[in-house]
Amino acid sequence: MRVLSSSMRFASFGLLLAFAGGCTADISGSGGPGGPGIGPGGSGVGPNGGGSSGGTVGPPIAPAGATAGARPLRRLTREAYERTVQDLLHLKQRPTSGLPDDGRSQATDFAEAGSVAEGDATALQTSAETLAKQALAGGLAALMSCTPDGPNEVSCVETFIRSFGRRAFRRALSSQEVLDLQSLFTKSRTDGKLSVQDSVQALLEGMLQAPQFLYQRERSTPDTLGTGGLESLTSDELASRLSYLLWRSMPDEALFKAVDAGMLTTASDTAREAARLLADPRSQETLVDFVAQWFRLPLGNSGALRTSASAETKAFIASVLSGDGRLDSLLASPVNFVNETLAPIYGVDGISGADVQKVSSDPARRFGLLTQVNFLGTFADGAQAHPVKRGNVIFKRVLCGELPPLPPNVPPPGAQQQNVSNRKRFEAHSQNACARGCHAFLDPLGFAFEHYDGTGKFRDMDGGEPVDSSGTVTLPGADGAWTFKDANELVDLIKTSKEARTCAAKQWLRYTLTRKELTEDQTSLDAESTAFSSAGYDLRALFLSVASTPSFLYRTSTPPEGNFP
Amino acid sequence: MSRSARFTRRTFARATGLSLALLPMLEADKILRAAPSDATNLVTIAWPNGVRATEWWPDAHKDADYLLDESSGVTETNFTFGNRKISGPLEPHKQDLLFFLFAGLTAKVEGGHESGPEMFKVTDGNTLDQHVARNHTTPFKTLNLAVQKMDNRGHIFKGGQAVSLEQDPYAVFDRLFQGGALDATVLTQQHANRSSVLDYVHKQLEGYGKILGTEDRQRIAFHLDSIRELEKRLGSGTAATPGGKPGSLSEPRFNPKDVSSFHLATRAMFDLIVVALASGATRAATLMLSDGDAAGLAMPWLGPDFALDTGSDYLGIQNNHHGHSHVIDEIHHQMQRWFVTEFAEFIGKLKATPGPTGGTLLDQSAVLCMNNMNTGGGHGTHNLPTFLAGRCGNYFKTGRYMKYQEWKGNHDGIKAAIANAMGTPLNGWEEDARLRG
Repeated sequence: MRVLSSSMRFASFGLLLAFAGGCTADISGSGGPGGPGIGPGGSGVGPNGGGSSGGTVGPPIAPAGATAGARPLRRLTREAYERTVQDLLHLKQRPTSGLPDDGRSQATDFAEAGSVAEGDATALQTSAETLAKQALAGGLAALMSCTPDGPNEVSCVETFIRSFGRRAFRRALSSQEVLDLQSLFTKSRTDGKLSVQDSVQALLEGMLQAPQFLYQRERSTPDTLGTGGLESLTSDELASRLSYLLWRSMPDEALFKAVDAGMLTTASDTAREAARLLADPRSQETLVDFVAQWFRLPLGNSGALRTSASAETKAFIASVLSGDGRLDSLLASPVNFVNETLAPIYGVDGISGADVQKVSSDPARRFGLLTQVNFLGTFADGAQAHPVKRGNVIFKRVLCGELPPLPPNVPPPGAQQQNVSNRKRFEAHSQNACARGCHAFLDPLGFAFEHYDGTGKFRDMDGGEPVDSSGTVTLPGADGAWTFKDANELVDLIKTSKEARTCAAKQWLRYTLTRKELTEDQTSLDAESTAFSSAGYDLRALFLSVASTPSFLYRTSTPPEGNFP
Repeated sequence: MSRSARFTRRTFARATGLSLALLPMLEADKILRAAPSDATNLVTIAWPNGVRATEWWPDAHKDADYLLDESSGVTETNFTFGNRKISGPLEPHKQDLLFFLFAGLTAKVEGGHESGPEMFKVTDGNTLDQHVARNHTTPFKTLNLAVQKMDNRGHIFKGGQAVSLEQDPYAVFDRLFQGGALDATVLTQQHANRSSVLDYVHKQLEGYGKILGTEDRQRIAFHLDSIRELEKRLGSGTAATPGGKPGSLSEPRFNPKDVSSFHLATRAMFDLIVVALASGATRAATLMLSDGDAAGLAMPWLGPDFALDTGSDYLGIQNNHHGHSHVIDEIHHQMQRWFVTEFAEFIGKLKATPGPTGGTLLDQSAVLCMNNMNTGGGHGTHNLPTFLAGRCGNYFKTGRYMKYQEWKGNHDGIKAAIANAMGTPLNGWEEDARLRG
């Protein structure tokens, strides 16, 4: 955990700041500290579209030449929801919300919360009710700084609405928003004849189901909506981008303070805060999750094997990120994390217990994520290796390759037979004319791993024949072909390739922006890549660098059409 | 049933100027109470990984696929599933079926596993269930269920938005029938509280949507629709569970996400659909069982040959459904037969359950069941194994085996007929009139 902190020395601040200097935005209208109720940034317009009493803040202008894409509205994933409510309500333990599993984005393959269907709305309602009750179990003092009794009731509740609302909605509330919540409180008190505490509970329930809480919204105003122009994010929006990117939770007190002090407006501000967040253990959990999703490695806990394989993935990624942090270490470090379940697969003796232990491995056989059980066993078909699935992950996720569209009705590989190697079976499949386009990329990448069966065990023979893991592949747009005799040689080629390095930068940008990269993001991608290469391909420099790119600091307003609702 | 037969006491009263109370119950009125558009149900079911032709279609004699030119455009009434390994369990219900040959998709999908939502899609970015239920006034417009997680393939469409499917049968049961467990006073208070909170949430969503771009707006509008559904139900009370909680949901609970509980979760989901339809909680349900690929599926409950190795050897699943589908072996036949046995069981339950407005649930329902691919080998989306159970309020003439002349787009004619049967025609879609006999 400490190591991430030290890594920040390593990340070249000079470089980041130099870049940031050219992009300092004029967002003077949005960064200043706000008085009570009229917070900085975004406060000019409430969710109901009306201007607040504090005067409307014009859209900040982005610097000439800067480009950034639109930012789609995203709902908090279940993970982010649970972390956020824990922080918001000061719960000792992270709650189990009972929200449905998140899906994966079709565009980026990263986890994404879908549209709120009726079942989701019910789950959110139930969760809000449970959490609100739990938060107030010890009385109102847990969340309120004043005591709402007698003549103080109205003013104390208003203070609570403003201060708690600021944290729940991650920005100051508009006057209309305050009024709406006051009216919910009054309705509960008078119509519902509820106690003060139960009425505050209703406020919590309302806020926890409100779109301002559930979605990460970035401002559009009636003035800027649809202009297609570039806007700077408000300080509050930058705070949320940072905290949700690196912690999967709401901004902490220090971020809120930085916003209020006008200290979160420039690229150097976001770089400084990103470095602080990255030094916190919470970011490690997020980054492990990012890398696992990037490589499509499931982290599950059903059954001893899945649990053990996931534990190794997490421990290995964490050890790389707290070690030299380099992409090539992720792909080629001869280290395994082994427990009694994994030991027989790796052929390691003397390991007992369910906890994984770090072991040095034979560098010819085990080197990084792609030769570990989670990858090899997940992309398999039972006990047999599945080279196409393996090749597919490497091609799409590690090299960011794009396949031509799949022809219809591709016949599958034939049945497994005695005395025929797995490779021959799949080769026969790929000879099919309509399958050739895709398999020219996928198969060689997958065949390289034929020394590992579907369980992840190393083998020299398959189907009575010596394993052939050699191959040649020419990636789309590549200068030349890669030729290799086995996975070891292939991974050596991958780990220093421009494809894998650029892909790392792309994947991190996709994870950051929750969408695929657009042409407008090219400057930001280039900036990320420069920071990444200057740092010797230390992923931590990459993680940090995105926070000061135009794609992070700005957004294009999106055009509205039609009426709502 | 002819559309022109729409004639009720109410329209008669309006036409004659007589008070409704003065009119005797008309015969036409009695019939129309059970008329398709008023009391019919839809159940759409998807299951994965294809069949072997000779073990599915009553007259298939060629392996692996079924040749188009052999039996074009014929309808048979005298057919039997006999001892076909996969479709055999449907034999007792064949008089309640329309069984299809060469039903295929119009839409081009990547491969069988991806055809999940596409199979059910109609117009306006809706799947058939969402389309027919759009004007339903039932407490729950639709039930959207899955047994296995399918990532991007396990959803349905409503107004162009992907709607995720619910996987936890216990949670679904609680959502449908929770009210029955609560004291009436508690319930009234809870409804009052929820009503003010939902009112607040509703208003915030309306305001929120106004300041967003088009796509984001649609998301919020969709969310708001769900809130409206919750609001609507507050006033309507909750339906009683006919016959109480299904035995398949008894304690101790199984883990619905565990692959070795797949059969328990499947049975529970079918039972939930039966009680939801019987109680009038909903009139449209979808159950997507699995895409047959993403999550891995094995059937250890079928015996030692089907063992799911949970030991230390496999991260993937041994004996998995997908692997066997590629080779279409005996294990695959038996696995598919298990699915079909569950369908037959479900149909049997619908037949044994009285509908809310008389007759049996099956009489009033259209159960459209499709596989996501032709054979496990080819992954093709032409000639999808498809059948329709139930007469949907006497709209369909069942007990027939219908063969098409070409595969493309036949699903559309079937879906259009179901939409008509339920009084919600699909604009510009032509039903296959032969389904009505």
